[in-house]
Amino acid sequence: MNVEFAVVGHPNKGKSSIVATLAENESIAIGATPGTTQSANRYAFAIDGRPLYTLVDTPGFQRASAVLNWLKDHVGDASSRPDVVRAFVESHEDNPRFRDECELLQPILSGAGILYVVDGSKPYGAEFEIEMEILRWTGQPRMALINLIGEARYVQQWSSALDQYFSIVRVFNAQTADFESRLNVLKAFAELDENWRPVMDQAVVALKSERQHRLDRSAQEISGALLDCLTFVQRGVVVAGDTPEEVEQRLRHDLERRVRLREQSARTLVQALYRHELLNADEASLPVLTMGLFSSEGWALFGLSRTQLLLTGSLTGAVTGLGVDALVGGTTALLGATIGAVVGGATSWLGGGEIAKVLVSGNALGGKTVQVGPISAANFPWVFLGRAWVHHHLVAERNHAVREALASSLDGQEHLMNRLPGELRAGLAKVLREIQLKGQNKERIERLHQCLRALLIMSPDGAVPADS
Amino acid sequence: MADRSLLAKVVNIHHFLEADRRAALRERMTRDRAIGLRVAQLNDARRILHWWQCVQASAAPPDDRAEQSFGASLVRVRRWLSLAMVVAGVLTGGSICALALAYDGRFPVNLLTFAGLMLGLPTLLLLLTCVSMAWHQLGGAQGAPGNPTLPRNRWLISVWEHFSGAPFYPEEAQANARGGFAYWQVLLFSQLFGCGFFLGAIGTLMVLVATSDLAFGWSTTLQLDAQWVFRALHTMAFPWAAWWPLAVPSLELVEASRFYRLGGGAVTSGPAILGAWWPFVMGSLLIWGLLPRLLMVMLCYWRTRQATYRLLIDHREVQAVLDRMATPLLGLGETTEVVPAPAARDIPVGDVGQLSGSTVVVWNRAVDADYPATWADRGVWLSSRMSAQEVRLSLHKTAEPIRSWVLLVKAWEPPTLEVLDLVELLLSELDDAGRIVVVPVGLPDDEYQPALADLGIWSAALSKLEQSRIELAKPAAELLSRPFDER
Repeated sequence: MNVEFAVVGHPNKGKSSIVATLAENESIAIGATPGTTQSANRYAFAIDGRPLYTLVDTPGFQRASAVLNWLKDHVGDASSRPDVVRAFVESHEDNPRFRDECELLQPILSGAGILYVVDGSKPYGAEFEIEMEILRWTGQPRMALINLIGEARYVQQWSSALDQYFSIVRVFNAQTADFESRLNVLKAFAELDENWRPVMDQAVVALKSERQHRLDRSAQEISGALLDCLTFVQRGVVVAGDTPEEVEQRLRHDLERRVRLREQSARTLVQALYRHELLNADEASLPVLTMGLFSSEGWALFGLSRTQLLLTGSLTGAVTGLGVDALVGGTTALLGATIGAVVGGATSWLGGGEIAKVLVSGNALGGKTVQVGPISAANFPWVFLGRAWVHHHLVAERNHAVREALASSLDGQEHLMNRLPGELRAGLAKVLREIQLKGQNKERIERLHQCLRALLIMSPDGAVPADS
Repeated sequence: MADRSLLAKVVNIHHFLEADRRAALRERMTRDRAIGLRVAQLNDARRILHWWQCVQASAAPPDDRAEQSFGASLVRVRRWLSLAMVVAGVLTGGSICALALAYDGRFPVNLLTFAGLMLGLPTLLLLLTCVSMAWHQLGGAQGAPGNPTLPRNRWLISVWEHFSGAPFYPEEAQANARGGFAYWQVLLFSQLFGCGFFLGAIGTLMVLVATSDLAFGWSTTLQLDAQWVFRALHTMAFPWAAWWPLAVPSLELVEASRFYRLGGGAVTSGPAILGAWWPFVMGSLLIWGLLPRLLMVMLCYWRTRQATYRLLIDHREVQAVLDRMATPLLGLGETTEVVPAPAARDIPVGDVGQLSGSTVVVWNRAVDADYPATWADRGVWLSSRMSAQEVRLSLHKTAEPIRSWVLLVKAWEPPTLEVLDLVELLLSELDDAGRIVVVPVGLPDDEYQPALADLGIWSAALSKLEQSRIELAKPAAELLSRPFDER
């Protein structure tokens, strides 16, 4: 069963924005000029090709008054109203004057539910009653969405009027609505007609599962990118005329470029997962994400502070040492934990400066080879994850009706990762340290993935500051 | 021609997937889910191999270059290395066997020395291999000291890469799976060497038996009597005793074959009987030398294959493909092509100026009903609720000839075609010199101030009428100073 919903209303009230947000389609034309949508466009929600419901984005009413006058002139009694509307469409479908009205009424006459969109930031006007009257004449189940293109000044005024024509009235901001609000609109669709409930329930379940899946895949991709970056090694031979320092500089540059490319490829995938493929062009205007991955500003903004690095290193070292103490039945009087804390803290403190290991070795046949990498800086994974966290949050929470560049409130702040809850920070620190010291294995990768999942659920703006 | 070897498929799949990351995710999701739905019941490895088959089938027809795929060249390297190991084993085994069977006629070949060299040492190596396998099984091969992000067997990969002339994998993240594969592959090579070794030894024995007068005996410093040696050799021969009795030494033969080098190496019987040992020696090499190596080859082959499957599955992109194959594909509407709106001619925006000479038309209560008091009596109040007839009647109420209209509209409502119809109607009521000034008005007390964007929208809409007599004006301050009736 494929249920259709026709999104109708006055021009420029955000019909296409609502469809773009509900259908997660950033390619839908949204414009300030009336008439941006010139024909009915269908956006089918389907699971494995099996359509469940279809949103029909329609042009706005242009000559509603003339339509209603025609209907009134041709109606017999109330029972014949839907037939009169049908007769209007049939007799005017080739008339260019009523092209928009025919386009928007046709899906309704074919059985579509009505989603009437108004703008709650603009005053109510009596002329809208003509449109609502025409929709009532169709006899189809209908609900109204009060979209908010600006401030919510006239919501109450609109609600009072809409309640008289529609069984369900909801406020829905196409620009800022979160995932739950979108699901609530779909649940409201189900209330319009009992027969539509099963498919709408299926759609809600599928969307929730898809949301979880996107989160999972994003966490996997980000952890994969981080693990890749931690294994990158650049090697080069010192040829005549070069000094090892020059080769090292060149290799360091290549290593950083590889890391940046890998980070970019992870971002592209995360954007694609959330169906924001067209976002790349806009992203450049968000300095938080475009500042260099290896810039000191970036490290200050996203990484842990030096004190936090020291504390985190000491803590993970102490935990490891405690394991040793436990193995010998506590006879070491916590010596293992103490040594572990000192070594862990010192490693983190000293490792905070140099980004990657550098090894210069002699070749068997003469000459020297320089190796830069793998990246050893204790703060690097935190900076990398901090950037990925912010990017993921901006992309995941961005509605497809938004056409502006990504925006973040993080500018000017410091040490984003300090804000993580202590338990999550400790878990991340432990697994990152193990990976950097002992290498990757399935269990560590899975733990990193779990930590990232927990991280991505949180909002960088709302994370509890670690120091508080 | 498609690669039939599992390793070639695995390597090519991984290489393909590294490049496939650049394809649009939606495209990949659609492709992989369509394949996944057909093979949902298979295990991961089978599913991904089936996926590969489908991807290849839908790709361009393979040309000769398919032969040059990286997987194929790796398999070729492996095949040549395997052959080289067997040949090296045959040469080594043949040489050592020839040395062990060196017989100058003074003393018979000491069976105990021969068994120690040709069976004892290889068996010891076999046991060490088994210990290594157990250690590997327990996870002892993970991680490499000094460079923990690389596997312990990374050097094996380097050898591999040296022979194949290309990096085994561009990324390091699947290091452990590659290390495991390399371990079993090297073990397989070593067992192929072992098989070659015994084949060489058996071949040498056969040649020497056929072309020389080999004589075997046994000699030891230990206080072993013939009875004990007979029991030991009889036990050794039990696997073939039933079907090859000739290769089982008798007590008489054992007793007759003991010799001492001191005193001229005399034995108790004639030289002919000493040649009767060769079937036993052959049986020993076949059953206690070659057979365990063959079994080890089979085991290593099987484990290499398992490791190849693991190598296939333990790849991040393969996991992503499996995930895409198993996850229901949500269609949320196709991407539509964004068509830019046609450029509109701008209508010049001026000030309202003097209203006194104009007839004011208020559309849809753009301003309050009793406004403006000074010329309300000359205003025409129209709304979209009126029929065309009612509109015309209202316009014709004014007795004086009309020189111009001032049309007050709500700035916050976009112009519909209905409004443009009205503008056209108003134009038709004027003579050629008459003009219409459209004034989008806001709400008083800063509730809604018309923005430039509003004027732009009106300008674009009015320009569609292509009439030079239409003007657009910003509302004068006096228009906004009156209270607004929310009716």
